[in-house]
Amino acid sequence: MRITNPTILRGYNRDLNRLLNLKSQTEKRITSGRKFARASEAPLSAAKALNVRKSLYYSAQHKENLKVANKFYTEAETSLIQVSEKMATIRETIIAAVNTTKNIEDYNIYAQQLETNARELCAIFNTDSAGRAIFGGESDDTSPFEIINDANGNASTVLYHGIPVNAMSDYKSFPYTKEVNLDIGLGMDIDQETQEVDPQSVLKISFIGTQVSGCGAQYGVADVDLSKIKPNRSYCIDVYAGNIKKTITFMGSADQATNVQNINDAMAAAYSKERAYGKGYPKMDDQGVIALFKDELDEDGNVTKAEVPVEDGICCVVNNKDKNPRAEDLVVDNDSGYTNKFKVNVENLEEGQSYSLEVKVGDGESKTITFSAATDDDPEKRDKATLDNIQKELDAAFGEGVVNISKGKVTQGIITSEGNKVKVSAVDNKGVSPSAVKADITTESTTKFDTTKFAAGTYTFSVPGGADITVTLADGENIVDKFNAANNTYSMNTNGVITKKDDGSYISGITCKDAAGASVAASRKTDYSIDLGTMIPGAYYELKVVTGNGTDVKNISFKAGDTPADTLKSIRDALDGTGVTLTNTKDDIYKFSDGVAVANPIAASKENPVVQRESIYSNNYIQLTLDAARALRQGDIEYATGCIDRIVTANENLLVEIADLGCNEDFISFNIDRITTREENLQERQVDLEATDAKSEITLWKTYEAMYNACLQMSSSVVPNSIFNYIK
Amino acid sequence: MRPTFLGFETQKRTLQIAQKNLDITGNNISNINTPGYTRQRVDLYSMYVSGNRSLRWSSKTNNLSMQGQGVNAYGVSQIRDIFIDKRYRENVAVEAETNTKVQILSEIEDMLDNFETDGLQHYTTQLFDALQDYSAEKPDSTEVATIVVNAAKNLCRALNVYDEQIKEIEYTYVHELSDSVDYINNMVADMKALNDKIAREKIHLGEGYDPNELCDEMNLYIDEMATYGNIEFNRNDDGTYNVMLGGVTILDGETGKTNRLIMKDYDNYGLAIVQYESGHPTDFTSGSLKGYIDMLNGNGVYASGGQNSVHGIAYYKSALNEFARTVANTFNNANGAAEDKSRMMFESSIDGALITAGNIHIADTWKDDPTMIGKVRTLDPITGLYKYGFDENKDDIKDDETSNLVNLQNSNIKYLISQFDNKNIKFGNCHDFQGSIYEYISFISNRLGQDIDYEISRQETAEVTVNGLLDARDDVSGVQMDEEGINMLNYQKWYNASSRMVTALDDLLDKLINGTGRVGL
Repeated sequence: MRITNPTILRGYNRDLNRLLNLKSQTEKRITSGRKFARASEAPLSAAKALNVRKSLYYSAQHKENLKVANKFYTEAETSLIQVSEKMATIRETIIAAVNTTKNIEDYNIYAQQLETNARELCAIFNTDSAGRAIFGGESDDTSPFEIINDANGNASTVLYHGIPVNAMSDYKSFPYTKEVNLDIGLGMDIDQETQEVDPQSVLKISFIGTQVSGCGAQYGVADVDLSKIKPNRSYCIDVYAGNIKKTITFMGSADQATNVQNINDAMAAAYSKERAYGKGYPKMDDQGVIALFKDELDEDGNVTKAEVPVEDGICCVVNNKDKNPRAEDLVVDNDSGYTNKFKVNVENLEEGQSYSLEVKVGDGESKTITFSAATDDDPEKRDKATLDNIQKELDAAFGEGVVNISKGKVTQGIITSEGNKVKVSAVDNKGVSPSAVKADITTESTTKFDTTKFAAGTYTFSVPGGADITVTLADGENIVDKFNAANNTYSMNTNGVITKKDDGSYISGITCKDAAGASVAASRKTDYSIDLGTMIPGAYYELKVVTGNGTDVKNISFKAGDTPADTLKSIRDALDGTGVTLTNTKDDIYKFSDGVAVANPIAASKENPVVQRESIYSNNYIQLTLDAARALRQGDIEYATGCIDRIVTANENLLVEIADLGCNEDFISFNIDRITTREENLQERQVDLEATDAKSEITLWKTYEAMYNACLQMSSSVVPNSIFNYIK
Repeated sequence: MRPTFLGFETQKRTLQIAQKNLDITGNNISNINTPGYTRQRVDLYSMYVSGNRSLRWSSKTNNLSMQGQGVNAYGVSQIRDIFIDKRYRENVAVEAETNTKVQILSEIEDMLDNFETDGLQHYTTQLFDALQDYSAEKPDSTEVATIVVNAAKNLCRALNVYDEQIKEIEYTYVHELSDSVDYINNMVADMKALNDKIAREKIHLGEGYDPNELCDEMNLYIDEMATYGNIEFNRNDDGTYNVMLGGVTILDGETGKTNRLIMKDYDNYGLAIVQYESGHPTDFTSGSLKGYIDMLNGNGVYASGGQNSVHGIAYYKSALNEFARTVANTFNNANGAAEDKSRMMFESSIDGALITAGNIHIADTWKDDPTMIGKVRTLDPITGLYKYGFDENKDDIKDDETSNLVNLQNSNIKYLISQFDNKNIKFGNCHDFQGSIYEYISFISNRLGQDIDYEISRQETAEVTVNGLLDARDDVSGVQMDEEGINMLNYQKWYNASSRMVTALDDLLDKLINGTGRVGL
């Protein structure tokens, strides 16, 4: 190839320029610290680097969110530990109150203490973290929990977001029970339609107060004071029934029955869907008590049994001023929680028996009323008639309409007097108050004389409804032989027991006098038989078995078998070891061995007392504390004692919650560690992708510089000597 | 018989030819640095002697007496290799095309930079961060909500600025294209004048000889024109050049007509259209004009009408518009704007217009109420529509005054956040890309990077080839100083030798005239 001068010059310039370019690029990389300034310089690295950057941004944000969550959980845990401590105090206070106190003043002091404790609990549950209540669900209400007072100024009801905690048993039915969540980089998954977040993909930073502190009660009804409803005024109420809230409005009327009808119509319309699907719906009885009912449905949705009271149903009514500020307020007593009402268990009463009740209204004198349980084959009619009987007696004692007994389906038997506390207790009616299931025990008695008491002399036995028998006894003669010889109708055995001669049947009431007219001591021999044929298969029976002349009393219980033979066996098993035997007399009637007395237990069984104080326990322990305080004020020690166990249980649940919180805190710190590690890895990766390797770049730069300088030095001889240098 | 002074004539011509050779050597050396200069040489030939008897003064049998009449020259020719010229021009066109593309794309890349300055990724992240912060706060806290609005505003502004900048780039190159067209037209006018000159000069030159310097000038023009487009040329008998640019004759040497290029009004057509005066469209396969047109009309998958599918300025403009529109629509829809216009987060600054990067801005409803996006969405069972409020537990959710409570769930904000990771967003009605917002930013950045990378590698290849071809061209046509030096020495010695020959002839004549017939003098 001909190397021409332009070729040489062009090549030199090109190389010089190339080196200068390379040098300047290296300089730029060194000074900027970056491998590339534009994606086009390293497309693959740049693509990766953008991803890494995005991940870094995300990590930083998720870490921030985790810090927020961490603070929240720490405060939640602190709060719950405080709650747990407070609960221990409450428990101790109640125990102290029920064990040591005897007078009402002391009870009041304890009640006051409990009330203060409940308020403190309330304050703890209202703790906020950075402006949001920890236990307020997704609401920013700084005090989701509130305690309101009753007419006496005593704390009575705990509200959660304005709704009594006892109103619903499902915590999720309360408002603001959704979760507040934070995206902590678990791949937040949100439903496009519902905007619902998959809880697995986020971290929740809220607690639902009603879940932590409990809600609902064993059961509850709303007692509307019908007499306070004003005619031609509008009413707007929120009805909470079966965990479902509905707002209903109605116009007041002068007629109570119309009011009940109006309210029931409104509620029926509101809850029609619930009712159609076999769920609970509220219904008001003619005394203004709203209770929960449901229809029993078959598989096809047809009603098999309508209006069945729901045993643990809760109804609650709250005036809704938000919706209609001009609406009148209903006067409601939401009886879920501690009530001071007494109930006569009419369904447990024995037909035809008479019972006495002591009824005290307000501070008035106690009055005793006696009524008889009605008789009717239809239990519903029978109970209704009994209630009518009681009402009649109450009217007689207190005046018409002053004291009422409820005839509502759920509240039947509750005695109230509007505006007054009513205290009812059963007057001891032992002997007439039967137990629920009674064995058919028959007794047969015959007369028995102590043969050793007969000395020589003349004795006259007078037989009821028969001729006297006169026996003259000489020394050494036996009364038994003499008696048997003296008549043909009766016979006396060697033990002195007199029976009829022909069929051996018992005769009682025979008396004996000696010649001087003094009575000879006689006793009765009583034999007890049990009719196994009348027993209800599968029912439990109790028997009081007395042996050894009344010194040994045993209560045995047994279960009636399907056949009398089975029942016999279970009675014999129950009597095993007592020495008592049973012998068949006729059909299914079995006689107990001699000298044994058998009776059905006399007192009403504990499970079904005639009069019962309504004791409903709240599931919310702030409310429970208030209820305990109220019970103490009423002197209802039994109720207060019942609270203790429940508080213990609640405390155990709390500890589980606290442990759960601890787990979450662990999870947070795990995630913080995870993200920190990830950040470090990402940063390393970013350095790999984007940052200059200073050592190699500087070396490179030095090389280029040296090359460039060398190139420059060459410049003087780029245009080579030519032949002209040599031509002379 | 040999004419007496035949030798003198022969040597006179030899001296003249040697002198001419020295002249041309001198000319070569003089022009060693002249651009476009082609090495020249004198085409020598040995004088031919005719055998025609009538011309003979010689014997009957041969023409010996007329032999040895020395050297003569046909003329001065250039040394060029047409094939190398053709290849050089082909490659220089590719180099120019890729140069133009790299330059334009790099300007776009500088504008959309995500690495050295805050780019789209930065502004998108700002919005993401602001939403995240908001999601951990109360939805009615205006301060935090305002930060979200500001972050969104910055994203809008960035897009607005990008739109301005890309338009600036667009018009810079529209003007460059227009200038290039004018320049080519001027060049063609010059070339036409040159053609005329060549034709006039050619008459005076022998067959096969050209006015070398004029041809050099013409070749320079053709070389230059080759950087603008694919070029072809041929020559007419009168020495004039016919030149075709982009497959169409732009200069017809035979008729002396030029075919000017015309660029149509860009704004009018929204397209870069360059065509010939004759009405022929241009079809550049390379050259900077192709670079400009490709870049201005290249709209990728969005191409319509006269646009092409290159990823040019139009494409990146479309991509920015798609980004703006898709982000706006994604968030608007996520925020419920499809059903309720008052839920718009982003809108066009021109009522009813499609959202573009240039017109995207924060919707007034959002600007006026930054906490609008914090409201909870609930389904109204009566109307079947979504309604929004801070507190979903209040019956009258649309009227905030009834409640001062707020729902802390921030479900709507979280839903908005989740849009950043929504991998099913379609960017572009032609399904240019489906993925997340971030992925689209990377996608555009990567596509741009890769496009530039590709063009740079094409450019480098062309450059290397062009350099090689320049060397090859020099190999043939370039002046080599040593070579010329040797030639100079050679021609000088030749001249000397010829002069010596004249002396010898002179001596011969002297002997004949003065020394012959003088016996005894």
